[in-house]
Amino acid sequence: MMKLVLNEIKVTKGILILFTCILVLIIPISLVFSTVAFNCLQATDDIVKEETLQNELAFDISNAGSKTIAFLDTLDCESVSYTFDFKKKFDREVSCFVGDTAINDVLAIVNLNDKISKELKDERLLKGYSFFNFDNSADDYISVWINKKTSIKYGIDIADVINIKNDEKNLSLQVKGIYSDVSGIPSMFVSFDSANSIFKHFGVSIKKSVTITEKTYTDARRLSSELKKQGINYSSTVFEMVDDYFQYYYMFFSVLLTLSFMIMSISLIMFFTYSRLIQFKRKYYINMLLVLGMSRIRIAVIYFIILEILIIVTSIVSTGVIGIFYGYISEMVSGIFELEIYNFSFAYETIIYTIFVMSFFVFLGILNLYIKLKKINEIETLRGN
Amino acid sequence: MIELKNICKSFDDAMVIKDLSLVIEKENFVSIVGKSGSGKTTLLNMIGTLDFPDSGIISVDNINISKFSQREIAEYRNRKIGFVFQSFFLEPSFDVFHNVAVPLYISGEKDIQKRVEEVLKLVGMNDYIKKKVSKLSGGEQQRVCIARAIVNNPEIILADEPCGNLDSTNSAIIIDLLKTLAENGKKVVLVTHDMDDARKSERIVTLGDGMIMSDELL
Repeated sequence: MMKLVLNEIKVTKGILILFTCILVLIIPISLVFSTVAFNCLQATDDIVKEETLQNELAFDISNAGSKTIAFLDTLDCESVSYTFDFKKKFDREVSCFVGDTAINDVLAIVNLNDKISKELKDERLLKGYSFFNFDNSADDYISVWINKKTSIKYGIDIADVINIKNDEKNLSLQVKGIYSDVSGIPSMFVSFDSANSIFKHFGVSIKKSVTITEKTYTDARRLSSELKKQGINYSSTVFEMVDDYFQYYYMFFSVLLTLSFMIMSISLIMFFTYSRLIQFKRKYYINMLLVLGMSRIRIAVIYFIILEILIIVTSIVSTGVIGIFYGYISEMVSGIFELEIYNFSFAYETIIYTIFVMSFFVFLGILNLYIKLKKINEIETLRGN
Repeated sequence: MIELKNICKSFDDAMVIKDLSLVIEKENFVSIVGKSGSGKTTLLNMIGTLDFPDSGIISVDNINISKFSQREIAEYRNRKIGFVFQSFFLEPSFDVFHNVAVPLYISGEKDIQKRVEEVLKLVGMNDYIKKKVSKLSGGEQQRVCIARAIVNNPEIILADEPCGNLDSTNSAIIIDLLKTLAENGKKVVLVTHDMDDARKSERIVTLGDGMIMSDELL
């Protein structure tokens, strides 16, 4: 088979040289566009990583409905200093967890989907938390749950009343439950509604969020779509910010990739022309192969391999040429499109993308050849010869 | 054994073969003769699966070749049949070696060099192995064709007017070559309009109007 391929390359070298010249124009341009495109995609990931490292990726669930799993984040209390007035006097800030009114509901939601639960556990958001000892009878006060550590350290039990206050106001809360966690610090847990009441009382708006640490944008997106599927509402502030970057660069990624695709699609005309030329110029040879017992599919494969070799060689050579001038090209392209891409690099995906798309076009061209081969009448061709 | 049973074939409403039955079993060198349009080439093409009968059965070694799939046809043409045509059907850009080697490339044989040299020696063309076929004379080209036809060691050689484009000297060489092949156990079916060539075979089947007019053992 390879011998026939090599023979055919020798015989049709004129056509192949002509098409190589065309490909040498098409492939480098397409490579440049697709390279910048993949750099845009890379840039998005870089931005997300940066944001993740600096701020942690967070879902803001301010507008979340009752079915919300966001009981898991440390409340950002930096803006207000609260003093918790327990039985044993102390004066310190306490980590405050905010959650849904009904913990069981929350857990039920989490348990709805093992995958979500696993994701959350993997993120250490659920690990170590268990809720117990609930008392739903007390409803005269805003209720809270405290962790076991707090309960032991300060001798607080169910139905005890805790006062929290700042310089101007104070508010009484009743311990409704005690939970255990892995935290070594005193902490308390309040429902969203309670948290709203507490912070409203102190005149502060709260930020309620689920923090997902060290997540990539893609992973966070996947998790959020899982939550959505379960009917769990959320909104995202960091997402929105990242989305802006993402959309900006994704737009360029799509535009440039489309441009690259369009440039490459010129080759489709070329491959169809090649197929026609082969039918015309190699008619008797093809017929000879058919008569000598070669199947049509194998004949088509010969020409497919020839074009594949042509594409791979041209792509590799083009990549080398671009590599030499890459610095200038990348500056020029990012200048034209005003892209802020750091560490502009030649992505290996580019050449794979180019070869893949070109191979697809070759396949279409050769499919056309194969269909035409099926119409060859050996006897007619024998007579014609 | 080649067996044709009640074969009918028509082109554009004109019946070329009419209920023809023929068995080629014992004789290794059979000539099919007849006037132009008598159906001899059509008959040969049908044996070679280049064409198919409208009705009737063609079987080779008791296998009905009319029912072959595309893959079986390719296999049959490559392994079982060797074609020799009037117009040589060689690839002009290849040298003698590559032209003869094509059936071996197709079948995926390994020892191509050795086999090609063997058959070229047999047809007396081993000195031309690296020569472009376009540089060869008609007789030499036809000998290359015969070498290509036998390189895969097929059982049947179908020769359609192999001397049609050759002078008498070269014609004699080609017919002698075919005769040698027949003597070596190949079944050669020769289509010709030249009775002198036909008389060198073991049996002459004369066609006329798509029917067998005479069947003569020599």
